Amino acid sequence: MSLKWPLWISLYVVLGVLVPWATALSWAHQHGSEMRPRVRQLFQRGELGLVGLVVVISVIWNLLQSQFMQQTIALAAVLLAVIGTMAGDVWIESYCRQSTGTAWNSERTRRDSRNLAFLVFTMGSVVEIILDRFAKVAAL
Amino acid sequence: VSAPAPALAKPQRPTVIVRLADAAVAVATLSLIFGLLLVFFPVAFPRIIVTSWQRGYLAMVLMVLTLVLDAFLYLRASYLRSAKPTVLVAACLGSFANRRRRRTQLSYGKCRRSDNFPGPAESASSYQRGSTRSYLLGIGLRCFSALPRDPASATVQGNKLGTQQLNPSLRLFLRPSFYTQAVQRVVRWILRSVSPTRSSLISTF
Repeated sequence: MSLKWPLWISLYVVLGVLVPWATALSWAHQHGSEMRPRVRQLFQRGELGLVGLVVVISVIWNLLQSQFMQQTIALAAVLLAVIGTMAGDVWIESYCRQSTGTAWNSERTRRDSRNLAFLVFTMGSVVEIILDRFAKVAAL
Repeated sequence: VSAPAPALAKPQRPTVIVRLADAAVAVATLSLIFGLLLVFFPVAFPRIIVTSWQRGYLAMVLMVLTLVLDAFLYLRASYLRSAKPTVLVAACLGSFANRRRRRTQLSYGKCRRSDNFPGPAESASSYQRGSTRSYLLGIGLRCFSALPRDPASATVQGNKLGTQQLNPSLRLFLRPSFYTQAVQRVVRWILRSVSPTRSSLISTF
């Protein structure tokens, strides 16, 4: 098993989850606040959907650089874009509900964003693995 | 002059809306398994796919896989919501065991009926009765808890099956404590492990 897959995973986990959490902690420390936000609280408004959207964008970009058939690239890109958009919409819907005072359930929003981010992540991983295998075969 | 008969009230069936976010975990798990197979079996797994494609099995396998996944998602949603399947969906699910059902009939707990799936007339009373979880589990267990199609051969007392008139050689294998309870525990464990919280399918925000 190549080491680049754990690196690829850790890159998104660190930059998408741990860095915002550490930034929130440092902000609280700098301003002398007693706030100690947990990761669950930090992403309770569906921000994990935005992380999934970032993952989708990078995967689509790699897909567009590949040598697959145009139809295959288009189909995979549209599928990934739809799922990524739905992941991002969790945050959009949460923002709209909070802004308009509509009923809002933070637990449900966090769960939806987590599930869709997980789906985006696994599908993106499969696409990246297939791209890697295809590049190795093409290089032979 | 007799009083006019009151109009029959239509039972209110709960509307279950399964969104992508609800089914995302199951699909993501499937995708994760596919990715792990590609990583850990970089030669054998693609070869299996290519061989299946060349022999014409791949499309059939994918269709079966999709059907099983859809049936699993539907049964999970029904289990969590304790909702009854409609006739159309029940017919689709019942197609799994159509061949076997010609010779057998369902005998599981409260579901002891010659017809496994309810019609509209029964839906109202069952809905008012409350939980239909055992009924839904019976759908999944119909292949495992079948008795010979003889109306007098099996009776139901509570959750126990009477097997007095069965072939003695079949009694050992038809004991519900052996098959049905084991499979029931496995199904429940799977359903709980996939979604430990029952609130994941709340249809309204």
